[in-house]
Amino acid sequence: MSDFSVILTIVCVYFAVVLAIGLAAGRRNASTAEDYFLAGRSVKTVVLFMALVGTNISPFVLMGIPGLAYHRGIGVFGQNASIIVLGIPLSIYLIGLPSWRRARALGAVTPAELYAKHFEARWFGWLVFGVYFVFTVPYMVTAVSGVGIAVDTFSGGAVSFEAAAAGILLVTLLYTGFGGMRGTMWTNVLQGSIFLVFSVVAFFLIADVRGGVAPTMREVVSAHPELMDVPNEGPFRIGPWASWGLGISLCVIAFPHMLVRIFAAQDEESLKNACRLYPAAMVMLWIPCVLFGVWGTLDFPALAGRASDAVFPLLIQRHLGPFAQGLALASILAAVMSTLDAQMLTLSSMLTRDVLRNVRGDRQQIFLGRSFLVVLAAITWIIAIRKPASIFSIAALSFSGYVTLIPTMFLSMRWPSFSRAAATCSIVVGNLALVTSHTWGPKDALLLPVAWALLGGTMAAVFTTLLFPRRTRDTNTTDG
Amino acid sequence: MLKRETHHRLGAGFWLATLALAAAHLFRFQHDDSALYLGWLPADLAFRIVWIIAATLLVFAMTSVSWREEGEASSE
Repeated sequence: MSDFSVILTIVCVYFAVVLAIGLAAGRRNASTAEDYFLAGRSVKTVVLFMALVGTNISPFVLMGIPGLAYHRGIGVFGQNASIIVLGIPLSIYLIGLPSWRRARALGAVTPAELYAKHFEARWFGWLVFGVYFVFTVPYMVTAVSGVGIAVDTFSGGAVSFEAAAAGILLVTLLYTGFGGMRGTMWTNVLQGSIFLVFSVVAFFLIADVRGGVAPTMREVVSAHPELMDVPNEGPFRIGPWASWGLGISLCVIAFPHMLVRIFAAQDEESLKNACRLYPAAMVMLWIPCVLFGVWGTLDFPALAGRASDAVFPLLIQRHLGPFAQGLALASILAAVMSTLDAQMLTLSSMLTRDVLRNVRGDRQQIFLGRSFLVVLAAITWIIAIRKPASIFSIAALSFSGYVTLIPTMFLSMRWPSFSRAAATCSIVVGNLALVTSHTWGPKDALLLPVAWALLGGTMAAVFTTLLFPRRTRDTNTTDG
Repeated sequence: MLKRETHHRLGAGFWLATLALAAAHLFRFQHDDSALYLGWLPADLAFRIVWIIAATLLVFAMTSVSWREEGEASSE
């Protein structure tokens, strides 16, 4: 059996298990939209936690972060990882918890539906859907690109980027279409376990082959001492550092595919427990990912630009056998699919429930939702095969876009006077600030575009609320 | 159930600790050539791990105290 056959067999087994789980979940689904899109709001701690981690972790972490650490060194950990250990649980508490309560009270299934009902304006749901769509598609492209790069590396070019991208979209489409939210959450438990465990195991296996963690780190210090520095320059200057910390902490709760997972929680205790477990999962994953990038400079010293996105699969291929390579590919696929399925399902649920006015009945909604999944997969594939930029660059733009929704998400749940006009102004001004600073701002600006977007959106939200406060019969927005 | 005054103190303490951690996040450590803590950890990475331990404790405090208080307040 050739090395590639071993890798292929492991991947096929993984696909078969995921499809079987999706089908089994599909049989458990009742024929209601709430059950299909939210698993009947019955998800408990373990599944919820794994679904949140699975949704949160994408090729941005498994491939983009090693690729970035390859060039910038261990400062990437402080810049990206540590702050989210606090930021994500805090944002779940400040935004996710009241949103979960409000979605239950209003019977909202999607984030766009929540805000449309909260502000009593259907068009507001369309606006939110538009922002989610614009920034989620590029993020989906990063996921598919990650798979293309990994398959290309492990197959030695035998499987093209285009074929790999199409394959992953097809499998994800199948189990997401059949299983709905329940299917994606069940598969996320398997997928999260695979990439969490494998990244730790691979870390120690590669270190072992290289003579141990300490000798490898000493070798890096000797060969590339600059990678151990976190100099006050470039992206590590205080302004970009602080603004990126703000952006990466806040964007996760603004992912529509994360918020909808939170809506699916059975009770508050499950949300609390997920917050408590979050830091451990982040540390398990991020330390190996950053060090893979740093170690990669020893074995592959000449990777330029976005070629460094392949450093994780390259390290596995160099140091481990075909079985581990198969597991590595399965773990990358798991990270991709656990994010991609949630993104596809969430966008399709928002389209069918919030945008298309004349959809009547649960069965028609589910049918349209499945049809939109196919269209979405096709759009993602067409963009991904053009390979527009590095995984980190695309994800950074996407994350910044999500943050423009944060003032609306927070204030609508926590400030009873916060009005529809203020929310609209906040979203429009935030996005204008993002586009302006991203397109015309100086390269070495004090703050990143995400900070200007957040500042602009927040100021617009506050001033407009003071001028045009909300006047409704029900202004109690924090409870059910 | 804790007294209202104790709630406020705990709440203020939580937000102060959060601000302190956010401020500490802005520190970045320059590498000293010989410094690899425990034989493998560069200075900045070691600092981040200590920071994460503190953040984890704060998350537990948040879910155990602040969250519960809010739940009680919203159900009253």
